[in-house]
Amino acid sequence: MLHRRFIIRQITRSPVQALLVVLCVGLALITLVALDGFGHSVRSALRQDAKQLHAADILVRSNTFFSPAIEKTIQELKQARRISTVRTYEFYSVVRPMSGEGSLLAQLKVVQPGYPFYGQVRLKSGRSFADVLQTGRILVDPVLLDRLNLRRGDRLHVGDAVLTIADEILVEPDRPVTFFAFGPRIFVAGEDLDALNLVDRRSRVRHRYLVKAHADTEIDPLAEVLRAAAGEQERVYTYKNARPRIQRYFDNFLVYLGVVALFTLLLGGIGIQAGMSAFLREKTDTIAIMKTLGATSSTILRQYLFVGAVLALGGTIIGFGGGIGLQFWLPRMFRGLVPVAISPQITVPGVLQALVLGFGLTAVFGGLPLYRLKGVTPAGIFRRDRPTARTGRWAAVVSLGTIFIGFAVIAAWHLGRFKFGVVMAAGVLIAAVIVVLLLKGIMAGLGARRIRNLPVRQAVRGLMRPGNATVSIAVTLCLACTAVSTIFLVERNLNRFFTTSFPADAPNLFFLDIQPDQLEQFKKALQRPAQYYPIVRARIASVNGRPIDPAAERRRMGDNLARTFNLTYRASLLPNESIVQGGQLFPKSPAKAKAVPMSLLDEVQAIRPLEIGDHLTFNIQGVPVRTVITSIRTRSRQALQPFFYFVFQPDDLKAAPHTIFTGVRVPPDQRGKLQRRIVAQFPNISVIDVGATLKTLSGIMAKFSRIILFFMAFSLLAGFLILISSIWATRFARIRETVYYKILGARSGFALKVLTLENVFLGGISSGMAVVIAHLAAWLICTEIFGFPYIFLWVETLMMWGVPVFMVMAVGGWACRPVLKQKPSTFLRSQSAM
Amino acid sequence: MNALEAHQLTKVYDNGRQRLRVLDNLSFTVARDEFLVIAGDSGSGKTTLLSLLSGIDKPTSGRIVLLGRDITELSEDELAPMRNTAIGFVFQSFHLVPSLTALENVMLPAELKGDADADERAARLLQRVGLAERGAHFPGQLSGGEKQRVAICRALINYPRIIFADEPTGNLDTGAGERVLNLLVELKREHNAALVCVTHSHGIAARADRVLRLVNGRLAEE
Repeated sequence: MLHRRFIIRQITRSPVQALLVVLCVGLALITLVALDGFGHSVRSALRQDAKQLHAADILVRSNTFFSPAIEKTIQELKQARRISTVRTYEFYSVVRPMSGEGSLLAQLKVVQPGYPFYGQVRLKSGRSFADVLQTGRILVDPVLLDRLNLRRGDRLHVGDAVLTIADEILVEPDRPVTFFAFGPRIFVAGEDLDALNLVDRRSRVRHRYLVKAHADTEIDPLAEVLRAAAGEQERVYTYKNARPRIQRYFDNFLVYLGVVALFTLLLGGIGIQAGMSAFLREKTDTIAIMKTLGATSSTILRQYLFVGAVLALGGTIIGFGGGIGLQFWLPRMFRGLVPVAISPQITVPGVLQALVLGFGLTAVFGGLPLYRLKGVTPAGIFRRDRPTARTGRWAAVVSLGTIFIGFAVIAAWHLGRFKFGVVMAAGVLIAAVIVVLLLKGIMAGLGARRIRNLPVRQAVRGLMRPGNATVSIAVTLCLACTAVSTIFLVERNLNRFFTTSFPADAPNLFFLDIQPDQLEQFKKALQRPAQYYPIVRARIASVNGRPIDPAAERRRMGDNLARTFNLTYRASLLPNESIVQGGQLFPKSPAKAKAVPMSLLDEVQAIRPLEIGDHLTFNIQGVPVRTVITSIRTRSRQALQPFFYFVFQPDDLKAAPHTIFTGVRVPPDQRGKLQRRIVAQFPNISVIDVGATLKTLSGIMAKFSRIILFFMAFSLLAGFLILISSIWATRFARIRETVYYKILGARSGFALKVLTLENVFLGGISSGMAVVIAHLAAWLICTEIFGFPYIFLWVETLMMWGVPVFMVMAVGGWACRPVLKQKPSTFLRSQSAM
Repeated sequence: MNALEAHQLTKVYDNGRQRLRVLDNLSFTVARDEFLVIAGDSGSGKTTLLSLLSGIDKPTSGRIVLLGRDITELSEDELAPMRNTAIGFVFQSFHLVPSLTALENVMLPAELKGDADADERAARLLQRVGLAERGAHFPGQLSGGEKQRVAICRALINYPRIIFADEPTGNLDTGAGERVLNLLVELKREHNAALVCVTHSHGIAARADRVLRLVNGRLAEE
């Protein structure tokens, strides 16, 4: 039978501990609920607007000109009146105003009349897109006007043409995300394509046919017809299966944030366990008295199970409410990235999920402390200083197993990837076990030492105070700090590598798409020595006779062999290259007669284990070229230098259609002038200003970091809740110690010093371990995933160590205020009254 | 010079709705090596009086002169050196720091004072009370009598001039209580200190030089 008044009293008599448990449940749920709802809203909005996001029923894409076969099929379908089409071209080019200073790399989109089939391009003037985009006119992103200090009506050099800015673009249906664009959008009318004179001489153009089926039922059959006609480099999607870039990006990013949310959930769970333990420890006397009066263990357990359920319900309400509230704020955080209007949704499944999660989490993590109530004996009322007997080691093992399985299930369910969930749960568990073992070792080491300094000794002893959740707090803080620090270190390393460590003589201005017949003129215009790199675009058709399976390759993590590669030719190594196998770049070999010699960069071996003598067949713009690996090169990654996976002998590749690119170092004050001069003389050449690009990259990374750190802050909050909970749980012991110090003649500063030192040690050990693990993880990420040398950052390391220590000191100090204020006489009176 | 002088001490607790006069205008002295017992029934104000005399609490009115110095208006930090070196405390509930060993508990006041030989002196004291083998044990591992002997050692390590004891045998059985009392009196004598003991035990009162009886917050000398 449940005793309602007893249950209410149990909660109201320990309001702080009860509140801490409730907050931990809430904190564990809040990010998960928010991300789940947000992801659901984004996906459902994307599904609803799928046609608009593609502006068509069917998309035919290629990175080169379309093959005659697909062109023929499209024309036949059009003639049969089964489809309508719009041709689009997308590429980067540098534009410059007719009058005035400056030039800018812009993302051009040339569209034929009829674009878009679905959705609409909204213009600032409010006029119709079709009416405004006429021959000789362009529509531009407002950012372009700002950067070049232009306004509507001004004229712009785009390739060989001079076009008038007719309006500003506010919304574009099939390009809702400007996140990864390195330049603002310009819409150009299809009739002006030839006048630009850019597409034929450009290496990177995205060609598209937007296809509208004349009957909805025809969409899938038509897509099949087009697929059958598509060449190797062409892809055909319907709006239903295209999974737009925006969705891929969101799915990946939400999975990443989901991992962070799961991490918070786990830390929140640890908080629930620590909080419940502390809450129930305060009830030990009550339980012992109840048992003395004849209550059975199951009667008592029932009461406290209900108490746990009440706390879980409170936490679930807070977590769910907070998660919904956060959903209102997330669109603001993702501003510029969210393609459609997102409105938070409160659904019945969402509420049920939150309830299951809140109660499940409390049951899984609070189960062990509740089970341990069995260990409280009536004798406990006589010997308060004796710790309660630990009930069953196997119960702890079962609890840990349940936590592991529960976490794996939640992770798999939330991320939608079972294997990933299990791996993540195992990873976190292993990390936690390692941290716990290390901590126990450190604590044992500290405990065994004879420390002479009194405040230091008292602080160390304080860490081992009975009932102190030192290990729980340290593990939680350590894991949270590790995650935050790793992200921070990787971001800083990337920044440092690209900016600070950028060598003084490294190129900062790159020129792309130089045509071979422009080379001599270009050299004269450039007026400075430079290394020129010929580029031939090609795909790999087969490896040792086995054709490349594009679908299988694209499923790989990291780089794959199905993409388009840039081949080059030269007779010697670059200054930052060296041969690791083969002796020289192209050693003479009998194989030469049968296949074209080719030097391989060792980084390709990470994609597939290729060796000297292996054969790769390339498709170079329709021509198959069979090559043999004659040497394997490596490169130093100390500086940002161009590199090529595949290098040929000049005689073997010179005849293939190719463009040339180069990079030069130009002082900042001369960069603009040189860009303008080159663009004026060679409109087809794209200029990439590394400084501006790095600024964009830094902006992207900073945005990512801000979002991730925002979610990570919840993990840290969980750590601090556990800290507050622990201080609250041990406040009696702390007050007692403080009073004893005062009675024995210590000044008030002494107790403050001991408590502060205790917090410093706790923060120092946790963040110290976190810093070591974070460096290790960041080093692995930088060297193994990003492939650049790792820089040990001293100032950042000190910061990563110091900030958590300071925060633990501040939070701990705040929580200890009542302890320090306690008057000895009040405490002693309360003791003698017991 | 007396070890302690109490002048017209009054203590009133005010809980907002009612005022409770616990001690009413008490005046007395304690000689330098005197053993004074303050006796009385439960709730008579014995412990409150001990708190005032030792400077742990402040009187509502009146003055306390400890070893020639008026401590009534001293702050906690001004009182700290006096508590550390001139006063020793022994409590009914022992009040040992649970996270420190017996030896470390005894050392604590000497360490607070900054004595380099704190551990040697603490070990000698523990040996003196028959606990040399228990120095590395934590309070939770000691019996009540052992805890109280550790507490007595802690009270005496800085050679105090006056020892305040609050029901020192209250939590002990008769045999252990007797042994602890003997030890306390013996050590008091060895250290030439005054001993002010609050108790309702007739056994302790019988061994005192003088007994003051508290009745309803007022003194009645026996």
